[in-house]
Amino acid sequence: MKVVRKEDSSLRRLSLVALISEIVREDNRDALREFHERRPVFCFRTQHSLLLIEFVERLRQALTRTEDGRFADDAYELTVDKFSRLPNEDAQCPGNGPDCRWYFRPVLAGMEEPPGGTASLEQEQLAARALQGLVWRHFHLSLLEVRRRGASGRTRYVWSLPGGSISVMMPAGITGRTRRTWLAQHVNSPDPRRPGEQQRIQAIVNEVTGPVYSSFDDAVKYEVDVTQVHNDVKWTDGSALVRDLAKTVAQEKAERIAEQRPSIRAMGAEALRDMILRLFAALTSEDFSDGDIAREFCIGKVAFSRFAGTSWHARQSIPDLWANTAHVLAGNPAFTEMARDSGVWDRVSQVLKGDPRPTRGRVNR
Amino acid sequence: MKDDLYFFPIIVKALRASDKKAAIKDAFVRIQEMGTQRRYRKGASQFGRFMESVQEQGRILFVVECNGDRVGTISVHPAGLMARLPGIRPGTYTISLSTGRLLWEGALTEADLLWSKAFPGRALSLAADTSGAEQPVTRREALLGNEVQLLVFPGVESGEMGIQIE
Repeated sequence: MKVVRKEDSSLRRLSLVALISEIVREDNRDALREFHERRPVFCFRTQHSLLLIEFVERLRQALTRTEDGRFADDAYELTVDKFSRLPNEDAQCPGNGPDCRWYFRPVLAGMEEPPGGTASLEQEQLAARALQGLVWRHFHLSLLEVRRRGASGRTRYVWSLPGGSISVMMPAGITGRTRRTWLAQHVNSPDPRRPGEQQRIQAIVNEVTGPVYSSFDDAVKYEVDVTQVHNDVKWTDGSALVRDLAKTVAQEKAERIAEQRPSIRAMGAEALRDMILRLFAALTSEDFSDGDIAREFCIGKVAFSRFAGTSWHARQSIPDLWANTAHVLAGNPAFTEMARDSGVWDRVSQVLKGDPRPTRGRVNR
Repeated sequence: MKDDLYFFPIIVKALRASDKKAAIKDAFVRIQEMGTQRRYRKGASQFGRFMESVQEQGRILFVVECNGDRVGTISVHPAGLMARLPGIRPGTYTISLSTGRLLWEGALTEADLLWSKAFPGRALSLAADTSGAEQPVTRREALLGNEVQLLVFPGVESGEMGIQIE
């Protein structure tokens, strides 16, 4: 039989914000251990209540199934390091490895705990969401870092063409004759005499296989700025308010692109975000169809329908994007409070019992 | 406006208002009223499914452990309905959020959990075996500065734990 240790109790009672504050401001190693061993705040796809190390492991496994699979182990190690290492008090060399205090610190931004340690359920949920986004982001940045370190994993290939030859850096995973075939499939009308042709072809290679950055800073510039989420979800009198629903949902989806269906994942984070913003904007228009958006962003009708279809099939769960939107609104106390006070929850059960006709006046004014 | 999702632009606009609560309330009224028109009938049905999803995803999970072993979870909707966990027997219990934060720790005895010990000589309330609202409680604990209420109900062979978000 396991017994709750008394000495753990005070740390166990701390809110996420207070616990992270202990790590960041007090260098509290016990608080760090408490976070890693007892705070399952992460989720991955349908799996909930994951510890950080379990979450990063899921990300590692997902990455192994992609073109970047060879970087998965290193990205995993680097990410876990970022959130695990507190500098040793005796260390004379402060720059020796990551310092988790810097990586946890953004969670505290705008989320100071109220006096008396009574952080609300809402604040706990918001902190958990912030951590989820933060760790995901750092896994992605770790991938870029190890990809940059592993740039030697690319080798030069000289593509011989009728008008001359062009030298491009290609992933080591594409070898021998397959390189020529790969280039022929992906590059339209190559012409070695055309000005800027080498750069154009290299850009195509980078776009499809992942870019090679000249430095980590360059890499960061290309990244989705998930800190934007904090700008869209702010604290006002203790309430988290989503200011721009479309932007918040688009940002969350882009952050978690690794968890999307393959056809959506293939779009890339930037295009996915653009598509969601475009779709929300289009909802106010009379004359658009799902097909229009699907064509605009080059994804199949079926894939679009599963992801963001506007006409939902009765026997299927609602499309991913709208389920995600529901998730964002579920974390908005003003929205849920008004849904309760307006009698919407009651109305929901009525609709689901099979009467789709709303009754006038059922909403409490 | 896309008829089947006519409610989204209304919600998006309400969330941008300076007085959000009033705007959201008005938005629900408008969504409801538009939903009575034939044109938006499917949209009204989809709004119901969407709000069901909001409701489900807003649930908060409480983890109950006895002497260090997990004995169950209580999934509570913030709308205020109480959720219960039956089969509670004497022991040292903890209640935590699913994020791991410990909210309450304490011993529950036979006097808390068994009707015969809690109310000796009193006839067992019929409500003791149901989820009736009038069922007497033996313990009431305010958690998280009164945001969450923990209630203990006695039964014949074991008690029940109830959690309600205020």
